[in-house]
Amino acid sequence: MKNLKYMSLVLALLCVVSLGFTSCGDDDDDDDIAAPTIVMGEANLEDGEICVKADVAAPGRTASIQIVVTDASGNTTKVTKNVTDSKYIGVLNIPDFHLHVDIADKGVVAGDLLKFTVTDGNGRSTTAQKSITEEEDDD
Amino acid sequence: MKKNILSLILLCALCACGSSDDDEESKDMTYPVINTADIVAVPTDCQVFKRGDVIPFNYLFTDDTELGAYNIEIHNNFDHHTHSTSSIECQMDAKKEPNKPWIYNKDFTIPSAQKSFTARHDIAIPADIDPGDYHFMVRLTDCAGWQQIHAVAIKITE
Repeated sequence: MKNLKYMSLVLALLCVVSLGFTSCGDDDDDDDIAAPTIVMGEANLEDGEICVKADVAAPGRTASIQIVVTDASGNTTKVTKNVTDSKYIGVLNIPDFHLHVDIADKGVVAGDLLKFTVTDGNGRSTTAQKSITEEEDDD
Repeated sequence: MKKNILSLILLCALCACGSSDDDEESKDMTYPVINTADIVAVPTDCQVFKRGDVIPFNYLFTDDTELGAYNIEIHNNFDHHTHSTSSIECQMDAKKEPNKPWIYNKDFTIPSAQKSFTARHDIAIPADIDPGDYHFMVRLTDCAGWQQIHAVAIKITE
Protein backbone atom coordinates (compact mmCIF):
# COMPACT_ATOMS: atom_id res chain seq x y z
CA MET A 1 0.00 0.00 0.00
CA LYS A 2 2.80 2.32 0.97
CA ASN A 3 4.57 1.48 -2.28
CA LEU A 4 1.42 2.24 -4.32
CA LYS A 5 1.12 5.72 -2.74
CA TYR A 6 4.77 6.35 -3.40
CA MET A 7 4.44 5.22 -7.02
CA SER A 8 1.44 7.54 -7.58
CA LEU A 9 3.38 10.48 -6.19
CA VAL A 10 6.34 9.72 -8.43
CA LEU A 11 4.13 9.37 -11.53
CA ALA A 12 2.50 12.74 -10.84
CA LEU A 13 5.92 14.29 -10.45
CA LEU A 14 7.00 12.71 -13.74
CA CYS A 15 4.03 14.25 -15.53
CA VAL A 16 4.84 17.72 -14.21
CA VAL A 17 8.51 17.40 -15.13
CA SER A 18 7.70 16.16 -18.66
CA LEU A 19 5.19 18.95 -19.30
CA GLY A 20 7.69 21.53 -18.11
CA PHE A 21 10.31 20.38 -20.57
CA THR A 22 8.11 19.67 -23.59
CA SER A 23 6.44 23.09 -23.36
CA CYS A 24 9.75 24.60 -24.50
CA GLY A 25 9.40 22.95 -27.88
CA ASP A 26 6.02 24.46 -28.77
CA ASP A 27 7.43 27.42 -30.68
CA ASP A 28 6.16 26.00 -33.98
CA ASP A 29 2.49 26.21 -32.96
CA ASP A 30 0.53 28.37 -35.37
CA ASP A 31 -0.87 30.34 -32.43
CA ASP A 32 2.61 31.50 -31.51
CA ILE A 33 3.54 32.75 -34.98
CA ALA A 34 3.31 36.51 -35.22
CA ALA A 35 1.25 38.29 -37.88
CA PRO A 36 3.11 39.87 -40.81
CA THR A 37 4.76 43.25 -40.31
CA ILE A 38 5.13 45.87 -43.05
CA VAL A 39 7.32 48.94 -43.28
CA MET A 40 6.05 51.08 -46.13
CA GLY A 41 8.57 52.80 -48.35
CA GLU A 42 7.40 54.68 -51.41
CA ALA A 43 3.96 55.08 -52.92
CA ASN A 44 4.84 57.52 -55.69
CA LEU A 45 3.06 58.53 -58.89
CA GLU A 46 5.26 57.94 -61.94
CA ASP A 47 3.89 58.28 -65.47
CA GLY A 48 0.67 56.30 -65.23
CA GLU A 49 2.04 53.99 -62.54
CA ILE A 50 2.50 53.93 -58.80
CA CYS A 51 5.93 52.86 -57.60
CA VAL A 52 5.33 50.80 -54.45
CA LYS A 53 8.16 49.91 -52.10
CA ALA A 54 7.99 48.10 -48.76
CA ASP A 55 9.85 45.75 -46.45
CA VAL A 56 7.88 42.74 -45.21
CA ALA A 57 8.43 40.17 -42.48
CA ALA A 58 6.02 37.21 -42.34
CA PRO A 59 6.98 34.51 -39.80
CA GLY A 60 3.99 32.51 -41.08
CA ARG A 61 5.19 32.88 -44.72
CA THR A 62 3.48 35.18 -47.20
CA ALA A 63 0.40 33.60 -48.79
CA SER A 64 -1.05 36.61 -50.59
CA ILE A 65 -0.32 40.28 -51.11
CA GLN A 66 -2.91 42.83 -52.20
CA ILE A 67 -2.49 46.48 -53.10
CA VAL A 68 -5.61 48.68 -53.06
CA VAL A 69 -5.80 52.37 -53.96
CA THR A 70 -8.71 54.39 -52.61
CA ASP A 71 -9.59 58.05 -52.49
CA ALA A 72 -8.25 60.08 -49.57
CA SER A 73 -11.25 59.22 -47.39
CA GLY A 74 -10.77 55.49 -48.00
CA ASN A 75 -14.35 55.06 -49.23
CA THR A 76 -13.94 54.69 -53.00
CA THR A 77 -11.69 51.99 -54.43
CA LYS A 78 -9.88 53.02 -57.62
CA VAL A 79 -7.37 50.20 -58.16
CA THR A 80 -6.97 46.64 -56.85
CA LYS A 81 -3.84 44.65 -57.60
CA ASN A 82 -3.21 41.10 -56.39
CA VAL A 83 0.52 40.40 -56.37
CA THR A 84 1.24 36.92 -57.70
CA ASP A 85 4.99 37.07 -58.40
CA SER A 86 6.42 33.83 -57.02
CA LYS A 87 9.42 35.67 -55.57
CA TYR A 88 7.07 37.42 -53.12
CA ILE A 89 4.87 34.45 -52.15
CA GLY A 90 5.74 31.68 -49.66
CA VAL A 91 8.60 33.60 -48.09
CA LEU A 92 9.46 34.65 -44.53
CA ASN A 93 10.68 38.10 -45.50
CA ILE A 94 10.70 40.44 -48.48
CA PRO A 95 13.57 42.90 -48.43
CA ASP A 96 12.88 45.82 -50.74
CA PHE A 97 9.52 44.82 -52.23
CA HIS A 98 9.28 46.87 -55.42
CA LEU A 99 6.39 46.91 -57.86
CA HIS A 100 4.98 49.35 -60.39
CA VAL A 101 1.18 49.26 -60.45
CA ASP A 102 -0.59 50.43 -63.60
CA ILE A 103 -3.06 53.22 -62.80
CA ALA A 104 -3.65 54.61 -66.29
CA ASP A 105 -7.15 56.14 -66.59
CA LYS A 106 -7.99 55.21 -62.99
CA GLY A 107 -8.19 58.79 -61.75
CA VAL A 108 -5.55 58.31 -59.07
CA VAL A 109 -4.19 61.57 -57.68
CA ALA A 110 -1.68 62.61 -55.06
CA GLY A 111 -3.30 62.34 -51.65
CA ASP A 112 -5.15 59.10 -52.42
CA LEU A 113 -4.47 56.18 -50.08
CA LEU A 114 -2.48 53.07 -50.93
CA LYS A 115 -3.31 50.07 -48.74
CA PHE A 116 -0.80 47.21 -48.72
CA THR A 117 -2.10 43.96 -47.23
CA VAL A 118 -0.04 40.85 -46.52
CA THR A 119 -1.76 37.62 -45.47
CA ASP A 120 0.32 34.74 -44.14
CA GLY A 121 -0.14 30.98 -44.41
CA ASN A 122 -2.12 30.93 -41.16
CA GLY A 123 -4.63 33.47 -42.49
CA ARG A 124 -3.31 36.38 -40.44
CA SER A 125 -3.36 39.70 -42.27
CA THR A 126 -1.67 43.03 -41.74
CA THR A 127 -2.46 46.18 -43.69
CA ALA A 128 -0.20 49.21 -43.93
CA GLN A 129 -1.27 52.36 -45.70
CA LYS A 130 0.45 55.38 -47.14
CA SER A 131 -0.72 58.57 -48.76
CA ILE A 132 0.25 58.62 -52.44
CA THR A 133 2.69 61.35 -53.40
CA GLU A 134 4.11 62.79 -56.60
CA GLU A 135 7.46 61.36 -57.65
CA GLU A 136 10.28 62.85 -55.60
CA ASP A 137 12.66 65.07 -57.56
CA ASP A 138 15.77 64.31 -55.58
CA ASP A 139 16.33 60.69 -54.57
CA MET B 1 13.36 0.77 -5.49
CA LYS B 2 13.79 4.48 -4.79
CA LYS B 3 17.02 4.48 -6.78
CA ASN B 4 15.29 2.93 -9.78
CA ILE B 5 12.49 5.48 -9.71
CA LEU B 6 14.88 8.41 -9.41
CA SER B 7 16.84 7.05 -12.39
CA LEU B 8 13.61 6.84 -14.36
CA ILE B 9 12.79 10.51 -13.60
CA LEU B 10 16.25 11.58 -14.68
CA LEU B 11 15.99 9.58 -17.91
CA CYS B 12 12.61 11.13 -18.80
CA ALA B 13 13.93 14.63 -18.13
CA LEU B 14 16.95 14.04 -20.35
CA CYS B 15 14.78 12.67 -23.18
CA ALA B 16 12.51 15.71 -23.00
CA CYS B 17 15.50 18.04 -23.16
CA GLY B 18 17.00 16.11 -26.04
CA SER B 19 13.91 16.32 -28.23
CA SER B 20 13.55 20.04 -27.58
CA ASP B 21 17.12 20.66 -28.75
CA ASP B 22 16.50 18.69 -31.95
CA ASP B 23 13.61 21.01 -32.84
CA GLU B 24 15.82 24.06 -32.45
CA GLU B 25 18.58 22.57 -34.58
CA SER B 26 16.20 21.67 -37.40
CA LYS B 27 15.08 25.31 -37.78
CA ASP B 28 16.87 27.29 -40.46
CA MET B 29 17.22 30.78 -39.04
CA THR B 30 19.90 32.04 -41.42
CA TYR B 31 19.59 34.08 -44.59
CA PRO B 32 21.06 32.67 -47.80
CA VAL B 33 24.14 34.47 -49.10
CA ILE B 34 24.71 36.10 -52.51
CA ASN B 35 28.48 35.95 -52.76
CA THR B 36 30.66 38.42 -54.56
CA ALA B 37 33.96 37.25 -53.02
CA ASP B 38 36.06 34.36 -54.33
CA ILE B 39 34.24 34.40 -57.65
CA VAL B 40 34.29 36.59 -60.76
CA ALA B 41 30.82 37.97 -60.12
CA VAL B 42 29.05 39.50 -63.10
CA PRO B 43 27.52 42.04 -63.18
CA THR B 44 29.09 44.28 -60.56
CA ASP B 45 28.36 47.91 -59.69
CA CYS B 46 29.01 50.47 -62.43
CA GLN B 47 29.72 47.81 -65.09
CA VAL B 48 28.88 48.95 -68.64
CA PHE B 49 27.27 46.78 -71.33
CA LYS B 50 26.27 47.46 -74.92
CA ARG B 51 22.83 46.99 -76.46
CA GLY B 52 22.73 43.74 -78.42
CA ASP B 53 25.44 42.16 -76.25
CA VAL B 54 24.91 39.68 -73.40
CA ILE B 55 25.33 40.01 -69.66
CA PRO B 56 27.24 36.85 -68.64
CA PHE B 57 25.54 36.58 -65.24
CA ASN B 58 27.72 34.68 -62.80
CA TYR B 59 27.08 34.55 -59.05
CA LEU B 60 27.70 32.07 -56.23
CA PHE B 61 24.82 31.38 -53.88
CA THR B 62 25.25 29.61 -50.53
CA ASP B 63 23.06 28.62 -47.59
CA ASP B 64 23.73 26.78 -44.36
CA THR B 65 20.79 24.39 -44.91
CA GLU B 66 19.33 24.33 -48.42
CA LEU B 67 18.97 26.82 -51.26
CA GLY B 68 15.56 27.27 -52.90
CA ALA B 69 15.10 29.65 -55.83
CA TYR B 70 16.27 32.96 -57.24
CA ASN B 71 14.91 35.76 -59.36
CA ILE B 72 16.69 38.17 -61.67
CA GLU B 73 15.02 41.49 -62.43
CA ILE B 74 16.33 44.37 -64.51
CA HIS B 75 14.61 47.76 -64.59
CA ASN B 76 15.59 51.26 -65.61
CA ASN B 77 16.96 53.82 -63.22
CA PHE B 78 16.29 56.84 -65.38
CA ASP B 79 14.73 58.58 -62.34
CA HIS B 80 17.80 57.96 -60.14
CA HIS B 81 15.93 55.97 -57.48
CA THR B 82 17.79 53.92 -54.91
CA HIS B 83 17.48 50.50 -53.31
CA SER B 84 18.28 49.52 -49.75
CA THR B 85 21.24 47.39 -50.79
CA SER B 86 22.81 49.93 -53.13
CA SER B 87 26.06 50.98 -51.53
CA ILE B 88 28.14 52.29 -54.42
CA GLU B 89 27.31 55.41 -56.40
CA CYS B 90 28.12 55.23 -60.08
CA GLN B 91 28.31 58.14 -62.50
CA MET B 92 24.80 58.42 -63.91
CA ASP B 93 23.31 59.96 -67.01
CA ALA B 94 20.88 62.86 -66.62
CA LYS B 95 17.34 61.97 -65.56
CA LYS B 96 15.02 61.24 -68.45
CA GLU B 97 11.61 59.84 -69.28
CA PRO B 98 11.59 56.18 -70.42
CA ASN B 99 10.60 55.55 -74.02
CA LYS B 100 11.33 51.85 -74.50
CA PRO B 101 12.99 50.76 -71.26
CA TRP B 102 14.29 47.21 -70.79
CA ILE B 103 12.26 45.13 -68.35
CA TYR B 104 13.54 41.66 -67.48
CA ASN B 105 12.01 39.48 -64.76
CA LYS B 106 12.67 35.76 -64.53
CA ASP B 107 12.45 33.08 -61.81
CA PHE B 108 14.91 30.20 -61.53
CA THR B 109 14.72 27.07 -59.35
CA ILE B 110 17.85 25.66 -57.74
CA PRO B 111 18.15 21.84 -57.78
CA SER B 112 17.20 20.28 -54.42
CA ALA B 113 19.62 19.63 -51.55
CA GLN B 114 22.11 22.28 -52.66
CA LYS B 115 24.00 24.36 -50.09
CA SER B 116 26.14 25.98 -52.76
CA PHE B 117 25.17 26.82 -56.32
CA THR B 118 26.82 28.81 -59.08
CA ALA B 119 24.22 30.57 -61.20
CA ARG B 120 25.40 31.25 -64.75
CA HIS B 121 23.24 32.68 -67.54
CA ASP B 122 23.88 34.69 -70.67
CA ILE B 123 21.21 37.38 -70.60
CA ALA B 124 20.75 38.93 -74.03
CA ILE B 125 20.33 42.70 -74.03
CA PRO B 126 17.75 43.72 -76.66
CA ALA B 127 19.22 45.96 -79.36
CA ASP B 128 16.30 48.40 -79.42
CA ILE B 129 15.90 49.37 -75.76
CA ASP B 130 16.58 52.76 -74.18
CA PRO B 131 20.25 53.07 -73.27
CA GLY B 132 21.04 54.47 -69.84
CA ASP B 133 21.21 53.54 -66.19
CA TYR B 134 19.64 50.28 -65.02
CA HIS B 135 19.33 48.28 -61.82
CA PHE B 136 20.16 44.58 -61.91
CA MET B 137 18.41 42.89 -58.97
CA VAL B 138 19.18 39.40 -57.67
CA ARG B 139 16.73 37.97 -55.14
CA LEU B 140 17.72 34.65 -53.50
CA THR B 141 15.38 32.55 -51.32
CA ASP B 142 16.33 29.46 -49.31
CA CYS B 143 14.09 26.46 -48.69
CA ALA B 144 13.02 27.79 -45.28
CA GLY B 145 11.72 30.96 -46.96
CA TRP B 146 14.44 33.46 -45.96
CA GLN B 147 15.15 35.93 -48.71
CA GLN B 148 18.20 38.03 -49.53
CA ILE B 149 18.53 40.72 -52.19
CA HIS B 150 21.49 42.20 -54.04
CA ALA B 151 21.08 45.31 -56.21
CA VAL B 152 23.68 46.25 -58.81
CA ALA B 153 23.80 49.52 -60.78
CA ILE B 154 24.78 48.99 -64.42
CA LYS B 155 24.81 51.14 -67.53
CA ILE B 156 23.74 50.13 -71.02
CA THR B 157 25.16 52.08 -73.90
CA GLU B 158 24.31 52.27 -77.61
